[in-house]
Amino acid sequence: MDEEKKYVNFTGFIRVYKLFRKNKLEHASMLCTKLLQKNPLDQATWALKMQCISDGTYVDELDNEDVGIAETFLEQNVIAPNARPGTSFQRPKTTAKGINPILRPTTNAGRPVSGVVRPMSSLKTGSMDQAVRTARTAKTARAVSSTSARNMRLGTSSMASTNEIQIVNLARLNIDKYGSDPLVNRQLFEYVFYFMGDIKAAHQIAGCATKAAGFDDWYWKNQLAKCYFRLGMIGDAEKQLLSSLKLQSLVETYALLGKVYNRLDQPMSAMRYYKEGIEVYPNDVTLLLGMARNEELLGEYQNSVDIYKKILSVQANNIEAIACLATTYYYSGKPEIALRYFRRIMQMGANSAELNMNIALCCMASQQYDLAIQSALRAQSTMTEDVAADIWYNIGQIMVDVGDLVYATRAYRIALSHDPDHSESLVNLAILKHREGRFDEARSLYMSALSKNPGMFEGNFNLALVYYQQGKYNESRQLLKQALIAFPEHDHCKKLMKTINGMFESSIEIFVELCIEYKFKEINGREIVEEADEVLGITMENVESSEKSKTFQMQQKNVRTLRNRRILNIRSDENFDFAEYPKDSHSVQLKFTSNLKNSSELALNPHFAKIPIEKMSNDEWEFEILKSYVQWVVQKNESFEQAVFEMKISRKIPKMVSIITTLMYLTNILLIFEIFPVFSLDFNIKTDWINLLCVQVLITLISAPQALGKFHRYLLSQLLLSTLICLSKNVLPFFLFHLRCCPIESDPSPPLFPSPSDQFSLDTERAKCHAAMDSARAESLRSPRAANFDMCMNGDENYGEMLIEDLKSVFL
Amino acid sequence: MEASNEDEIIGVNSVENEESADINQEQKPEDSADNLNSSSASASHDRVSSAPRRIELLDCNSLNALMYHYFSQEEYAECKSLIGEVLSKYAGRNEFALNLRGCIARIEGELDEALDWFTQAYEQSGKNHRYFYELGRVNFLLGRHSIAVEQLEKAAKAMKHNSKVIYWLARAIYHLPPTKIKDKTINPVQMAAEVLKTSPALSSDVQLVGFLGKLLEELNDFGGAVAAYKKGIELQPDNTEMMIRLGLLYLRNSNVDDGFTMLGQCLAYDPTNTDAILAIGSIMQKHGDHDVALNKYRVASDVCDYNGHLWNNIGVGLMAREKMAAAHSALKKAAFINPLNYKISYNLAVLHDKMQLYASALHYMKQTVDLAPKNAKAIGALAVILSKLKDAKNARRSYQKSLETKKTRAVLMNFAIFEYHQGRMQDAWGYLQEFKSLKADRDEDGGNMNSTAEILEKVLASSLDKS
Repeated sequence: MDEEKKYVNFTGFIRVYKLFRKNKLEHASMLCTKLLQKNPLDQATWALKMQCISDGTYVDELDNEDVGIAETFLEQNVIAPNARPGTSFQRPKTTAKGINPILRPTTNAGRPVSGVVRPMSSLKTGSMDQAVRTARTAKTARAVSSTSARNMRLGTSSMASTNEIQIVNLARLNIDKYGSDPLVNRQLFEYVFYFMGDIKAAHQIAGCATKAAGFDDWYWKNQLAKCYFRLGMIGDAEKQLLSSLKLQSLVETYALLGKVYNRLDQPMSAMRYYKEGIEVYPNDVTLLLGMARNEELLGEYQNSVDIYKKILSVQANNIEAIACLATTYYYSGKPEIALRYFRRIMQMGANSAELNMNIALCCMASQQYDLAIQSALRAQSTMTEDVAADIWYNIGQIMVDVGDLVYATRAYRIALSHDPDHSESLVNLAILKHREGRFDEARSLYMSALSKNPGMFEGNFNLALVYYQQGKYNESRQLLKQALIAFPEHDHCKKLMKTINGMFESSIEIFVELCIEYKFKEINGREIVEEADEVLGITMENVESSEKSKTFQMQQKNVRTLRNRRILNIRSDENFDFAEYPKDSHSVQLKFTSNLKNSSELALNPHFAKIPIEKMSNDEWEFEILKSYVQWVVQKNESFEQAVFEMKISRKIPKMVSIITTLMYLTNILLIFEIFPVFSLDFNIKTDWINLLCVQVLITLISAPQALGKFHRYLLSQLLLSTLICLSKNVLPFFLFHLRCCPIESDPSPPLFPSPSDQFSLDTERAKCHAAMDSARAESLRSPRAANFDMCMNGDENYGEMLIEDLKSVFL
Repeated sequence: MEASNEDEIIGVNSVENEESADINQEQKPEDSADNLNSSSASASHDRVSSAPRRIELLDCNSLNALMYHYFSQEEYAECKSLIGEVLSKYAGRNEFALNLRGCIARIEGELDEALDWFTQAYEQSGKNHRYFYELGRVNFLLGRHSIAVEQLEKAAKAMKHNSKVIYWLARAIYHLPPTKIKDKTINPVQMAAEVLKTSPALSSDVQLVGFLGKLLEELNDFGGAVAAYKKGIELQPDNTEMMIRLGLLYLRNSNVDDGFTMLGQCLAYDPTNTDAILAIGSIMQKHGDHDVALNKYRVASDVCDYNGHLWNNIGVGLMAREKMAAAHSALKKAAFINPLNYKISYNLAVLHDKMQLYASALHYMKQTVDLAPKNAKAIGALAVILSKLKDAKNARRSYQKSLETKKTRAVLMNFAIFEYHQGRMQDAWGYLQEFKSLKADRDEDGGNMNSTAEILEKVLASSLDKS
């Protein structure tokens, strides 16, 4: 009896409250129901019951949720649709080393593989159409809309567990009254928000509550922000959070702000708030994790690894940090270290097929074969259906490493039997078939891999190679385009693309022979000999060829002249003569600039080599040399020589065409006079317009290339010409008038001396020329072109330095 | 004469296709667009004496120059809209516009459309055979090589001076399947080369020369290919691609010096050309100049660090400089990128052998043998590793297997030494004699091996005498 008295037996509300504090939520809620049956108007019990229920269904709002297709592609909140690389999740940095699809494989969505599977890691690739198609086939299917998935599930699960009448009838609840009552409104809000999932009502409650609290309670502002976020009103959520931050700086607020900005695809702003938060709460894992994830998604792997390490020093058992570190180590070629991290995860009690497989891969890479096979076997025995394809795919990889290609083929086939859409297995299988020389089989496998995952680099590139070898250049070009989207820096792809693009182009090509003479100012004999070996660094511009500038090299010692011939693919300049089609012409300027040796060291003496003019033109285009001269450009206060060649390209008209044009012209004139008699004509020969039409028919006959032989055509045209001249005798005065092409009252003979205006313009030209040359000699002219040069050079220098530093890290 | 292109007269419609080639002049009265028949012409004739009618001179070619300007400035969108306007205004009579539209469609990769436009232009031009050139090119890009050949042949007849026709013809022939005519297989490569050789423009067109070089290379005509490439470089001294091909051709025919010069010249023009760097680095490594080669690879690894062969070469260079750990990671990276390349796994095996990690060496050598089962050298190396692992039985079997595949001096020598260590003096003697009967290859240094052979022979002779 005495012993029993030691225990205080709580009853009623106190007992329920104690149970609630001990987190025995179901028991507490059951007792609450009993209490409420006794006294239905007991507000404390009512609130406690709501708290019990909402605690049972609490979800961490801070975690990112996957964005559905609807939100991804019909997004209206995006601020910058074409962001610079590195400032948006859609455009991660690709220039960083080791971040390419070859050294670090990508997920189905085109994102480099990360340590853990988490939402918000899918990249928007391609069009909506493509995404919908992928979602239908692949296992990584995304929900069409994000707001549905999680909330739906919550509702149904809680309905099953509580099989009783709802304690709040939202339709009849006086929201204004209860919402502004500070004693119960929090419980009510959480119940409505988490358990019932009625965001609109929750928003109403929060609105009342924040009004009742005089707009200076951070709690309600955060809750309002959550509601707005759920409702998709991102801007309002941001406003609420910022104002909450002014009242009280909390980890939750910073994390929610980060989430809001991530949703807006503004990772830099998100990072700013994470950093601010870390200044207030150093070593907070939530904020650090957010930062690390963002860095990873932006492609800044080194930064993300640093942050993950910091997280581990704070919280040594953070699995996400360990897994991400391990993955990064594995792909940067340190499998032994990665293995240690994976082992650590295993020691913490996690034991999944994926983990075993990862350990197997690490062991394989660090050449611990016995352990590798063991782990792979264990992974195989514990795997579930959703990872089976990946496991078998990795087993295939191990078998390739062992060299057993038959087994590897089999493993890939099994992977495909588990998941017919496993595009990686399809590609690898295709490569093995390709290796065996079964090209058609390989091609169809590549194609099916691409139909499952159209954005993948490997499939696109490999299939493009196959097509290129078979001479199907159009297909190859299209696939290469896709591959270059996935991996913009791939060198081989770019080269192949250049070759294929050349086949599609149709530009004018002209053969030109140029000769440049170098003159060294002889300071002393020794220097010349030394310098003759070097590259003179002459660049060419204004030619739209594939490479914009090329350098010339002296090959023999003591040679002072160098001949250089080249084919030019020329596209026209801005100045273009519209009036003269079909004799349209383009003027082209070639500028050869020596940018290594200044004008005191190197002089250019440009002239065109004497070669027959026919050689410089082709069927359709005629080539005309206008002038060549030297000018000076100044950069970095040094003057350099620049040789300029000016040429003109004009379209040729075949002889036959000109004859026919003339004939047609004459006939037309005659017809005009026939139909519109300006003054009366006395025809010696009886003509009328029907005859002239006959003449036209004859001309048409001449113009048809296949109708007559060459000789006959000439004969006929001569005949026609004489007839026409005979016919047009009467209109000859008019011809004279017309062909001279000047007003009737003007003097027909041209003036022998230049008019004053001409004289003036010549003078100014000369003056300009002198001024330019003088200023060039004084080395003060700084043309805009020279400024461009400077920029280029600086850029290059930086590049060179970077290169050496990077290599140190590679080799040491 | 120029003026004749511009003004045309209205009321005359029976004239179409007056001109043969480039210019096609169409005329059409704006005010009477629908009654385009001779009756309108006669009607206008009747009206002559009455009040003068307002006339407007129209020329469907008036905008051609602007079109071409847009085209040459690569402003395709504007060009297309202009062409669309012109074609709808003149009911598709402008041949030049059709041709240009075809070119744009081809550049944009819509080949079926391009085919359509060029066909229209062809019809509009009064079946000008020059359009077979464009049609042939489009069909070639579509992979319909036999049609392309037919069309380009027609075009070649029509345009005798255009070297490009020959180039595309040769390319199309190159892709034809080998056919049998009159019990004689016709090699398309041979055919294409012959087509090129007959062209008069061969001496002046780099594209033709380059393609001829490639074809001759495939036909194993070393001298011809070298001459072709040399001609190409003479025509265009800064064509780096041709330099690389010539350099590699020299290397393949073990003319190392010329190859080296050519690749060096290429690097002078384009110092970051990864292909040239790889090739020149490998030559340097062959001559034992690993430091310089590694320096060269630095540049290349910055451009493409995802090139497996590059990392393989770096690994070999580091291995030669006795930096085993670095070499190991470089080779592992190479193997990660190119898991199916047997050379990389061979190098890895050699590296592990050097580090005296024989089990790993065996693993990689086994992978090599699996990937390249016909490689006698790899099987011989497998035997050496097995003997180091003291597995005499399997070592002997793999030596025998290697000799079955191909008899090489190095393997025979190794086998002789192995049998000597195993105490089978008689067998060792036999293999040694076989070794001596084989002639040394030109690219292996026989001096070292010969001296070993002599020592072994002495030892064996003495021991055989004893026994």
